Amino acid sequence: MKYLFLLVLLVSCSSGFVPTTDKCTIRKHIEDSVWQILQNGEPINKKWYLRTDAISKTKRLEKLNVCNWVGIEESH
Amino acid sequence: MIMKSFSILLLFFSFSSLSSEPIGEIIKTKGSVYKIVQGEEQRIEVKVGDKILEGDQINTLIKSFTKISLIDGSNIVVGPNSLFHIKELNVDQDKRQNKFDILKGKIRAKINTVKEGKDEILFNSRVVSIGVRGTEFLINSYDVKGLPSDDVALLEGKVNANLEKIDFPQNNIDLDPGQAFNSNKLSQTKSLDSIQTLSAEDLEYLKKNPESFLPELQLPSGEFRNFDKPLTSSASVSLPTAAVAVPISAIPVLAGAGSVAAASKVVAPKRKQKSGNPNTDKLLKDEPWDIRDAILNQAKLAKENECFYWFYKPIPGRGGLERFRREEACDDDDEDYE
Repeated sequence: MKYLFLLVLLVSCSSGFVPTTDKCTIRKHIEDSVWQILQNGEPINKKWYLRTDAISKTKRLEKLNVCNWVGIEESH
Repeated sequence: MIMKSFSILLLFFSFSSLSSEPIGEIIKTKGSVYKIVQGEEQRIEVKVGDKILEGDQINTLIKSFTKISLIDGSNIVVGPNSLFHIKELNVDQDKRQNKFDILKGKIRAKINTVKEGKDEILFNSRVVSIGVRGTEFLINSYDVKGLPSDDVALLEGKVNANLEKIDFPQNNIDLDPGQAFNSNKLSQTKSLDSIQTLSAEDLEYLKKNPESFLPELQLPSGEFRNFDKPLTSSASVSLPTAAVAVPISAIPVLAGAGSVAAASKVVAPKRKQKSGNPNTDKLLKDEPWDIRDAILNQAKLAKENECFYWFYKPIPGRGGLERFRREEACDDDDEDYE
């Protein structure tokens, strides 16, 4: 069973890594100095962070292949 | 059984039709004005011509205001940094039943007179409830040293103020045109002498400037404004020519989730901000305590892999959204991202 599992794992890994094309940005709250992470324009969760934390988190998401860090959204 | 099903269906449709019919319209705005639709967390920026529905909350930011025209011919001006809830608005040929909540900030209302029939209009601030009929008045709702403080001033007509929520010998008082009171002053003195009369100058100013507001009658120190000096000369009462320094005390965290879909441009992260702090454009001293505390301790906590996040939740019975802070590991990326 152990070898079967390893075989399955090797096969699935060797199928190729597909980099994401999703884009991540951060957007400031209208009133407060907290920021939300957006993936393709939509919030990834209901959490808001300090700006530097939001940027750090987004860069980690980039490493996890969740999305590509693009920049800060400006709201009008 | 069939009749029961029919009545339930009729009730459902009647409620649906009531809630989807506009009860007012935005006729003027300045600055940042939003509405929070009942049952939803998001707030939507409004502009002139936008319709208002029963149950909507109107939220204005600093240096902003809006004027709403209601279907009964009344007008309400919502002042800066305010949250105003149109709880109920029923207008028929022979009946009018309207209820409004002033959750914070300033409002100025001019209520149209209804000729006949049942007429019940209530404006509720946190500690005072005002019953009005064909009148023009102003309400301020704010905090002084963490406690609610509400002002009411009557320009025309008559109002009856319900004071059951404060410590005052009478449950109800009637105001005459030109009279004003502060809820804490009434509570402290327990005397009708606390109801004061606006000077002729102040009354004339407020009447002639239909978008002006009453300055807060209780100062952040807890003292009360002296009616002997004109109230409307120095304090900021009108927009948009505001040069005012109305003492706005620290209001409990009450913020809206800012999911306004207005972004259209992406820029690279800026390295330097006005305050020198990469987390905020405002000066640190202007930030609410929870954000200021997080910024000041950010570097120290990051060494221990501790970070903060915030979320917003509606508070039952209060309206609006309140901000909450929680801790988490800085590298906590264990989220189920779709």
